[in-house]
Amino acid sequence: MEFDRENPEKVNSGFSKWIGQTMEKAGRRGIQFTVLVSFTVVSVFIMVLLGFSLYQRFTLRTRAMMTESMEQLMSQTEANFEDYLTSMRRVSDAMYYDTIKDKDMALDSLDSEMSLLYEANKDNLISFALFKRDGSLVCAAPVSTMKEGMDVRLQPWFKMAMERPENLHFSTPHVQNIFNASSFRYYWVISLSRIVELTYSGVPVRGVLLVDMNYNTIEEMMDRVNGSSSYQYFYLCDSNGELIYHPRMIQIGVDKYRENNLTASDYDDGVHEEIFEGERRMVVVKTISYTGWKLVGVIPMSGFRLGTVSTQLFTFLVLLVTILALLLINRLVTNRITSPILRLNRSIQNMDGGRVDPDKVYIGGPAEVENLGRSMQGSLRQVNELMDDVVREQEERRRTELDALQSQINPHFLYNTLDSIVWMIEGERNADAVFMVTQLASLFRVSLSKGRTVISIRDEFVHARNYMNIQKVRYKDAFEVSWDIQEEILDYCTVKLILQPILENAIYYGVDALGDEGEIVVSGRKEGDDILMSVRDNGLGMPPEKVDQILSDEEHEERTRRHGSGVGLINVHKRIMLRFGPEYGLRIESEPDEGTEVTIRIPAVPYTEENRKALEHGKWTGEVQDEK
Amino acid sequence: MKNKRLFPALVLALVAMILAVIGFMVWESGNTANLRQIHVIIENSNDNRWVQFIEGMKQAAEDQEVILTIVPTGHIETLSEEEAIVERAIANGSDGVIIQLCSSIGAANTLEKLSDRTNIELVDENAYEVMSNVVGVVSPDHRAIGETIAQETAVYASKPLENCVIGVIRGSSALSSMEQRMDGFTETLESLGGRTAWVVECMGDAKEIKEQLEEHEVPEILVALDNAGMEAAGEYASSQEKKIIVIGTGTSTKSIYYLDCGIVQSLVVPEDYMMGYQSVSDLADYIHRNRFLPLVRTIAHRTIHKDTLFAEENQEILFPVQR
Repeated sequence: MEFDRENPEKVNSGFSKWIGQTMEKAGRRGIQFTVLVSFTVVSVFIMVLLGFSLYQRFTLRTRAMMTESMEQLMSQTEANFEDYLTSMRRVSDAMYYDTIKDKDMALDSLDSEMSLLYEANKDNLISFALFKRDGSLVCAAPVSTMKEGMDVRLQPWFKMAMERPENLHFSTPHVQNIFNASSFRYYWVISLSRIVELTYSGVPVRGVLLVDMNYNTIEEMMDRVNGSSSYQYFYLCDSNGELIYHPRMIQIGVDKYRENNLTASDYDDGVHEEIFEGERRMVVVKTISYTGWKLVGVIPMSGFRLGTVSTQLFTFLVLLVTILALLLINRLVTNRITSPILRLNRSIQNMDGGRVDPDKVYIGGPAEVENLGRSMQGSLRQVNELMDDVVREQEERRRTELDALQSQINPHFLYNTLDSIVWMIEGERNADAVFMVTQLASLFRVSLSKGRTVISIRDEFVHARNYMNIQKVRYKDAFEVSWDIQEEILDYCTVKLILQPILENAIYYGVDALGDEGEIVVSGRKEGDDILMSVRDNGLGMPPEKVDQILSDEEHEERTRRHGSGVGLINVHKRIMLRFGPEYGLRIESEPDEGTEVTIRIPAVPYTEENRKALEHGKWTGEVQDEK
Repeated sequence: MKNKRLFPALVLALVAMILAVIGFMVWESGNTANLRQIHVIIENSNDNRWVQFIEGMKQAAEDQEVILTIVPTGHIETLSEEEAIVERAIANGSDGVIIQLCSSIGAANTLEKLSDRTNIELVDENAYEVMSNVVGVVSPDHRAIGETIAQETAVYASKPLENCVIGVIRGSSALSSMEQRMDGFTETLESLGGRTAWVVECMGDAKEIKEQLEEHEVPEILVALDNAGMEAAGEYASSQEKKIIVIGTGTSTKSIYYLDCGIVQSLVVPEDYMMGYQSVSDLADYIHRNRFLPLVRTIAHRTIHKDTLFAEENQEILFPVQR
């Protein structure tokens, strides 16, 4: 993510949005994933923090140890150098104070003493030589002849000695070039030169004593130190920064390698940090006494860190193993924590899909999850009880509604019948009145049916006949009624008093206006698994739109509002549907001036006590319980 | 489902990475234990002329962390003899061979055979026909050396070049490097008005060369086009009563000594230290990192006179400290 300098708030809001989205995604992934990721992120963060701190500590410690080790090594080397250089100075001193000062050069020769001293120190020496101030050779060992045309006064070591007579001078390394080379060999030397006082016939004359130290001795000492470690190196330079020894001396000579020797020569003794050629490094400097030479140890800073490939690989390996271990341990811990929650979740995950058995709710795990489970179990029990109550209430309501619908019929019918009987008694038609009352008594017997709402079709037809007999008497046989009932349907169940309202309508709205020509046909038959009962009249009939309105709720309400009666068909239709389902009920077919046929469709349910009770309590499942 | 797959995949990936790192560490430790080995096959390996060259190679071997083996050799007469030495080096587990050819004629075939079995770096020879069979070439600019020698000849001639008797000692005509030096020298000399009175091919030991030289007129200027020739020229000139101007090329202490003594007037010195350093560096680089194209390097040369022999800038190159 790039930082927008112009609009930092935009970046912040973008970052916050990203964090928010990430958290939201994590939330959606589930508790186990979230806990695992959280644990891992926290663990890795702590590990990185810890690792970084340890690494810093390790680096500092390594640095201190390496510096200490380097300083010790350099102190040792410095001591070796000082021993060596002191021994060389002593050789020079011995030559000067023990030999040259005692001799008169005009009379005595130094050759034997010089040769002896050379032989005693030839491991560290290349040559001895004594020159007069004019550059002429007094004596030398082991080679005693100078190159033709050689003027030693031009040599740096000679000039230094002459310029500063009070000191001994150590030159930088060079190839000795003043004597004739023997066996085609040339030697690298460091020239130790000093002013000496020569005596010629009692007259003191200045001269220069040269001790050519074997450079190999210094090189071997430095090579030994440099061989001790691969990541650090040491070099030697004089006080002006001129290199005396460097492990890459030749490469520096041909400009293929660079060293910061000129700067290092200005350093005081101690530890310094520098950046050279883009590399940060630590430099330890020690000055070798008397010569002013600087012994310089260099450690690139990468040496303190995880510099080598193997160390880096090892660190990477440790990191990978730690992450793996963290993942596995976190997974284990996460499982331990989330497993009870997940089990609880699984046990209630169908809760919204239907009834859940409270006993199947998981109870276990940590106390909090167990309490949650118990609470959930209790809640489920309550929910189930409430659901049962609701079902019971609904059933009760349905039954109440059925009873209410049925109760709408009784006063309606009773009013009409009693009205007819009143008219008969008033007209002194006592026999008819007795018949009417008898029929009415039979009708009420069926109507009551011991409070049952489901009766046999047989009783329903008895009820219908009673009703039609009453009506025929009342209408003075103004219409004909014929009955076409299959015997086999009589022992099936039906909701009681469903034919009577239809017959009532057939009389009032069908055949009443026809005078003596009215005809009503009542039929009943079994069709497949259903029972069909129909009432057909040859009355006035109805247009199709009127037919459609008869069984609609709006029409029902309108009729109830207008007349308080005439609600028979819709009541029957609703009762059948409530009892048996929406696929059952009434079907009305009518043609104006042709007549009307109303057909009742109910399932063929054998009239048994068990079926009757099931239908009564609304527990009929649609499956027919055969009597046998 | 996605989460269920994620965890095992993550664990498997980590385990695979751990195994890969461990494998790499084992492989690397094996590699460290078995450092790559480079063999060097040069004629007369103990000859003093190779001192600078070998010092350069030693430093490069240390820097590149390879084992350097200088195969002890004497005079290598033929390519088949040289091929046999390379075969032995390969049999000894060499990862690369640095070769100084004893002859350019037929070298392409020999190198082609060997290049399938080892990596070859060529030194001191830059024949184009062998380029495709080697990993790299490090050599001086032989033609330029010849030209410089001719120019020095003109500088040190005591009279006009056309009047000088100029004798030339050259190396084997079988070497293309020597042909290049000869061509460079001859063409430049002729452009300066001089011409060679005679040419001796440097064959055999010093005594034989001296005998060959004595068969010709004593020259006023004696030119040596290789180190052996320079040593022979120095010896010949120092044995002559007549002052002979000796100019040529050489790297051995003996050649330098003759310059130091004033027998040789001018010495053209190829930077053999760099030739040794670069050849090992390039070959080790190829072995370690497998570069693909042959790398051709030309090393510089210096013209040294008596007064500049011990100059600070020349000391390190001419007199390398031997380790």
